[in-house]
Amino acid sequence: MSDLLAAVLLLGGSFFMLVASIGLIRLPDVYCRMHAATKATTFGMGGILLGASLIFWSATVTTQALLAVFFLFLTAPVAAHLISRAAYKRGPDLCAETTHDEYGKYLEGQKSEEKSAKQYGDA
Amino acid sequence: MPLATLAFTIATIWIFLHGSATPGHFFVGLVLAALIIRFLKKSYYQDRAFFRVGSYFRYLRSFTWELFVANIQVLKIVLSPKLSIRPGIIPYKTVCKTPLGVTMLANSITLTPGTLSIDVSDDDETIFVHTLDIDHPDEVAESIREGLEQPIVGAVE
Repeated sequence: MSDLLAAVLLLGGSFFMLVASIGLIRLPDVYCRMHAATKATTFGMGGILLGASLIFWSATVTTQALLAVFFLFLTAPVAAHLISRAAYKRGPDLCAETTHDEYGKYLEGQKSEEKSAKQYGDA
Repeated sequence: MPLATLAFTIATIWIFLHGSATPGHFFVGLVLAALIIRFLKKSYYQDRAFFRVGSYFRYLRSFTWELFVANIQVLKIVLSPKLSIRPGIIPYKTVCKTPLGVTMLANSITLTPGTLSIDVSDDDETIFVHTLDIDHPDEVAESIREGLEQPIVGAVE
């Protein structure tokens, strides 16, 4: 029974990793790709690690797996956040389908504030 | 949690990692905990988070549910023959005040359906969220508020 459950977890986990990779190719821009790359990989990785801990069935492996899952869920979003932020500030534009961009307006506002602050400094 | 509790927690995790519960190993765990705390004390953020266990579990339950929904959604989007996404960036006003609350919320947003946090404004009040469903910005904000923000506020604010 537990073998069956482990198999389901392992296969399901690998399947979501596959979905993440396909998403990485198919989606149009960095930000959409990060959606697939963070959600599906953490989920898939969680499944694989839990499946592995079921197979080994020992306190040591289970602890390691749980810790790995915990830190994965803690760090993956941070990485995605930094990558997409850096991408926005330096590199590729949003894809053509994008209709709203409030963040761009916010950055513009910040820039003009800095400018006016500088002007005051000169005066 | 207080540093002493933290040290005992780390020592217990060490016992589990090692797989043999002897006083000697527990002592080694405590020494390791002391070393870890010694070096990371400065960046340790003291709070009451882990005392409100009930709200904490409510957050975990809500988060796990959203995680499943998110992955089914990614699955649908990626594997559908025709890509039907309407991406866009919307601002989200948060009521979280503490650094821990804002961090948890931003992290949770990234792992839940159709949303990805891109940046937090300098005053920590607005999170910029990239969404795959820009046609219903109110629904997106509503699902963040009910599914994530309220449990987080209950757990750590």
